[in-house]
Amino acid sequence: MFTQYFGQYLFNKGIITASQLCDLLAYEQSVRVKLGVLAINAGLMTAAQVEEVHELQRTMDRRFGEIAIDKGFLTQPELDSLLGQQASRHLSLSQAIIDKGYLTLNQLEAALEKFKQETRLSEEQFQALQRADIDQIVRLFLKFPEGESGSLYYDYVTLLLKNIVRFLNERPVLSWPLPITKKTEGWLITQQAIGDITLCSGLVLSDATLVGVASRFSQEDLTQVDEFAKDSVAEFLNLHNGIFLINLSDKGCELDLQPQTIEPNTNFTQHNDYRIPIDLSCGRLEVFISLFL
Amino acid sequence: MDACTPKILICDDSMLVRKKLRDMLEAMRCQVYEAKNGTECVELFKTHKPDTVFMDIVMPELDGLEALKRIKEIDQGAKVVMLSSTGTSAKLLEALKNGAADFIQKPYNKEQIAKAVGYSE
Repeated sequence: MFTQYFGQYLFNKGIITASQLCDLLAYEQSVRVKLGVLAINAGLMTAAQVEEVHELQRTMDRRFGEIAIDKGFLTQPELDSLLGQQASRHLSLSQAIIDKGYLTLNQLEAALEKFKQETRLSEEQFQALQRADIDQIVRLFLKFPEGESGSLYYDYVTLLLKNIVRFLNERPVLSWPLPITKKTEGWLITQQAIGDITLCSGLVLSDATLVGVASRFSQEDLTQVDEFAKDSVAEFLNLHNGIFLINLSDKGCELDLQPQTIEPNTNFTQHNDYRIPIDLSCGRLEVFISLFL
Repeated sequence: MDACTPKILICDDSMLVRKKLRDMLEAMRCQVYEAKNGTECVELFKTHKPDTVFMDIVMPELDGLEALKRIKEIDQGAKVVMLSSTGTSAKLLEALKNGAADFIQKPYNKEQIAKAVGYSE
């Protein structure tokens, strides 16, 4: 997670080139070790236990560590130790930048300091980024109103980022919200949920991003925007919204999902409160959301 | 295909879900039929009398809960397994009240589908 944010920052500032950023992202992917692998390596869990937790994660909005503790596979001190090992891996990025000769040690130190200042990150927030703590990252970038609606917006975006990690195997980079627009440039996939409250959600994607997201979600080698690719992205949104509604249902709030719609370059027919950009390795998608309580 | 081959009807508006489920079921040697909405599903049910129907809930035209009711009117003993991303308690209760045999939440896995078909892989 840190790699994406800091790498993107270095690129935006012209400190590294696009191909160097690609190199770093590929490097991060190659050294990214999941908690389950660390647990097996440490002899704390068996492969079957890790598989069991992964399987449960597919339908539950819960973290690997939480489930592992509930199942009695890990203790809290063991989990803390594994999380510490995972977090320290952000150092590999700095090492890679130095090893590849993209920056000197002094330049790296100065860039890190500027990154902290410009993103207005406190030390605690910086640590959250290093720990890839999605809940904290959402609160770093998005400022929703206090109260019930704000809490639902946080939950929605946090779950979406987690589902991007789970179902697309991507490392999403969240940015600050963009001004609301009435017209989309790209494919607009929308879905509403109606009941105790109303949720309007939409994804806007370019051709390349749509094909990338569709390929990852369907696990098929797709090369163009066709009905199957569009359908795959719509199903991803449907799956995400379905999990969000299950979480709401557990809190006593019942909503019915409506079928998704897919349109190219169109005007919004619904009001939108937020337009949130999320960068993926295949391009940017924008999330539009509104809640009516 | 012989007379013992299980006949399965998949009803889902998502091409992706239909394709993935068909691949999974054909690998289990099932004969598979596809419908993309509830209306098509009811018609195919009348024609093929499948052993099991996998039914999505949220679909355009005729949704899964309504299609379930119509299938049960045709054959009270029909085995319909609801397959949906919205496994909320209200939907689950409504589906079971209307005679659904089971409810599988997406994303499903091969073991859940095999069990629903009657295989214990």
